[in-house]
Amino acid sequence: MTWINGMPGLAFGQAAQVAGLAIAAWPLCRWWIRSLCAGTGRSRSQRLAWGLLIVAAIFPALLQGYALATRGWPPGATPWLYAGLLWGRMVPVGVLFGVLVWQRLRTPAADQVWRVLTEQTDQWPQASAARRRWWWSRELRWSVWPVVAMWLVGYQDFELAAMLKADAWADWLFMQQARGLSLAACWQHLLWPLGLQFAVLAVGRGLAGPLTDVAPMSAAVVGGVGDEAAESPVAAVPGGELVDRESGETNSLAAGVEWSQAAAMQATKAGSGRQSRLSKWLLAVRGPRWWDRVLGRPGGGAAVAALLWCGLFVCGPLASLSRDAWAGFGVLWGNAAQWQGVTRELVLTGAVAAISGLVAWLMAGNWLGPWSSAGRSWLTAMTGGLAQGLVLIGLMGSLTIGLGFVTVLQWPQLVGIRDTPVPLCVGLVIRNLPLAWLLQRVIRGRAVAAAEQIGLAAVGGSRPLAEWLWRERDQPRLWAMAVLCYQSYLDVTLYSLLAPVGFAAGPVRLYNFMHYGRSAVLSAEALVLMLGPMAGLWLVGLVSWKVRVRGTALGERRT
Amino acid sequence: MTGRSTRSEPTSIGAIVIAVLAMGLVGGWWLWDRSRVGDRETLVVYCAHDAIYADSVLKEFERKTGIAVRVRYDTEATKSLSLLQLITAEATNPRCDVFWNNELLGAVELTRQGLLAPYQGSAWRDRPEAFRDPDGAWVAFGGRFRVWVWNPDRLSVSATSGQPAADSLSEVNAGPADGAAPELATAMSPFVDWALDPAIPKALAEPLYGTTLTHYALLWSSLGPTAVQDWDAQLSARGWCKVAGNAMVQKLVANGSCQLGWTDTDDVFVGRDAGARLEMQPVRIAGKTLCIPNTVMIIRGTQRQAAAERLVDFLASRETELMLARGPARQVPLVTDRKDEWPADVKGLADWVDAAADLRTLVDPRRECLEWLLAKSRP
Repeated sequence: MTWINGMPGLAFGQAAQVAGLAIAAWPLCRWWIRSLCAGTGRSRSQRLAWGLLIVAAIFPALLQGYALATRGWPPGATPWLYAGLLWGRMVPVGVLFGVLVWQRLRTPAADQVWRVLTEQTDQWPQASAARRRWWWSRELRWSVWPVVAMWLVGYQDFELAAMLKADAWADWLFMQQARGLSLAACWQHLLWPLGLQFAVLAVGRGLAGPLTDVAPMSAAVVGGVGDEAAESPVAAVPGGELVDRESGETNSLAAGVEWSQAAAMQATKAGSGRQSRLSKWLLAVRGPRWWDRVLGRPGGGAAVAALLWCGLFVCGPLASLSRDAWAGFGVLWGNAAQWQGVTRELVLTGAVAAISGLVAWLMAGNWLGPWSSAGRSWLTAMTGGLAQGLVLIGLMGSLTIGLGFVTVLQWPQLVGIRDTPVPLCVGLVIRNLPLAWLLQRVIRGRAVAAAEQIGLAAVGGSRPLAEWLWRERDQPRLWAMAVLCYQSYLDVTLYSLLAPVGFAAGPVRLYNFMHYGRSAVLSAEALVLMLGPMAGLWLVGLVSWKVRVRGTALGERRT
Repeated sequence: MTGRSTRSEPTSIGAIVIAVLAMGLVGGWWLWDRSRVGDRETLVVYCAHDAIYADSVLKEFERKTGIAVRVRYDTEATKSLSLLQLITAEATNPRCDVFWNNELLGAVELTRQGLLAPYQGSAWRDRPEAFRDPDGAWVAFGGRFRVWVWNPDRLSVSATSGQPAADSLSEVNAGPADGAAPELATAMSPFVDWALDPAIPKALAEPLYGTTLTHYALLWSSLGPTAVQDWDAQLSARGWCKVAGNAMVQKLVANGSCQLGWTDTDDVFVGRDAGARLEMQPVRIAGKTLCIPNTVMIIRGTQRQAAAERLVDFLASRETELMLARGPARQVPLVTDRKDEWPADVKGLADWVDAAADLRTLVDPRRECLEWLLAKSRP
């Protein structure tokens, strides 16, 4: 029992450290988000920054850890190195989540509510006090999910900790497996880290509030004052708050409205925003607009920062890996069997990753989607409850899920499926569910229905609308699915524990590359296996864009 | 946000289409993989040896015998836990017919658990006593050795005495190993001065796993727990750092981040092939070298006993040992009477085989040592 007693200390200590890193990262993320969202539409710099940030967020931690672990560091430097690398992974995740939350709350309906309120302040004396309260509410609501996402990424890290020999609960649990830890003992250890993760998610949800979905609202019926008050779903109440007539919720909508509008103003009007001093100070630069002026385009600051970030956390490890890969490509090309083997691994692992990533996304959207239980059938409630239970299991991490499956698959009733791809796919889906849920939560509430109406009215013709829909609705979802699929692709532990006999997984080869030591051919194979899925995802995105936007334009010309 | 809206969106429809196509692809592969062997007898082999080295050997077996082999390889991602524990977990419904392990003590553990089917074939009869189970539960072949590895550009060893050259020792710490127990000093010989000198950065792999754990177990068995615990407690003060694996030790020494380390011969050969300047000498404990051989065993309950026996005889044959000796890892054959056929850089290691310690008795010391190491790592 004595060694069980040690887990709470490690779990809490690491939770506090990672929380410190996440909170310290937020001002930087905030700056980055505002540069990414500056202006209307999306500039080339902003698209570049998006792409680079996604690459930085999903770049295999294993390669980063490996590249630095082989440099030889004094023992005292390891915790700092680990914290730095972890920070390098957490910040892009925070930025991406922050942008998604921003886009979710910045809707045409919300903008219209704010405009009505600010234009008629004299009719509503409490507005100024309410705005102050909402400012704090805004900051809180904006920051909660990105910080939670960063914390989860940092807290669940295993590869960096293992490579750098840093203290982390996941690595410690892995070490205990060396003597054959039983599943029961494994779960006993997991109670603390799992409980902490669950608590953080619950607190995050509590702090962020239900974030009322403003999708059903049309800008035309928003008011609270004036002639349209009787029809408005939003009303001002004597306490100076806004209340949603239907749900009775106060503040949440208004807070979203307030921050989105204020942030939009900051991005477009010099000096009119409420930029935090901390974010100004942290970067020792003068905010995104300064960068943007220097670079002459919105999002220039974000692009430069993303380039620097990728240079530090992606290109460095990649350069270390690819130094001798060019020679290896020649050898690989000349060996048909080897080439075919790598291709088979790439395609099969990619297919399994696509299944698990997409199924997790769809499950999270369909079973975990409804934020309110009102009007749900017992079947919906049951599937929702089941999916929530699976999210909880997903938080346990790959090793525990894998060991759980290995145990369960010994039951006589299930022996028949253990040598099929089913356990692997199911295990990966469960592992992906927490992230899928989080992504669904921040992406799917973006009030597309109302925005579609506004967009339809604002733009003439179907080509601009199609482009707008692509940018605002389809692209974030495709990115989310791509991230889920790539996360599945890189899950070495589940592949090695649950893959059927004869299934050669690409990421396992990548991992073994670290073990066998560098050789030119292995470097080339690792590059193919790592970059191949990225190219595939890019291709799917391109085809989707062509179908969506070009297809619409073609149809328009024909008519 | 409702389920209905999710289903009706183009991205969701696209996701469903791609997921279904991917399911078709994976399902198609699975069916093809099972049908390609046709009516041929098929063995399920769990293989802990590195896939890049084992694959050609198993393909040769398929070619020679016509018996199909479906392999599940181990990975460093789960260290040695996956295959050994998988076999234990599957004891009531075994899926594996033959287990090719890359070390010996796991085989002894499985023997104790009664999970192996004894077979005394031609390979078993051919092996030295230390490299086979008395009842035939397993048989060993092709081994690697624990070695001291160093970069000759940074440290030099006298060609005549095999001792560290004086100019390689730091002035402050040169001389007798203060505070080192005589047994420990002997165990570190001939590098005791380097091993204890904090000015010389050194690396070893995390001793919780693999060959470093076997190394610790032999120290534990030979010197006793106290000496090992004292040694481990002072590692950091003596300039040692623990890293993720033996390959990383080799890299750190090769790139000059560390000057000395403990690793395995296969890692040194791989490093040399990649152009690194590396020298090695065997670790000797009480005069014995530490050879970690491959082992092969038949899992009790197999439905394909005859085919499994053929694979055991093939893997532990002299021909296979020669194949492994000629491979990138230069596994050393355990039967030394035909060493004229060995590749040049392996031939010099023949004497090390003759001096190898008998590891079969190390199961209990290893378990004790592991318990202590795990206890030490408690948060």
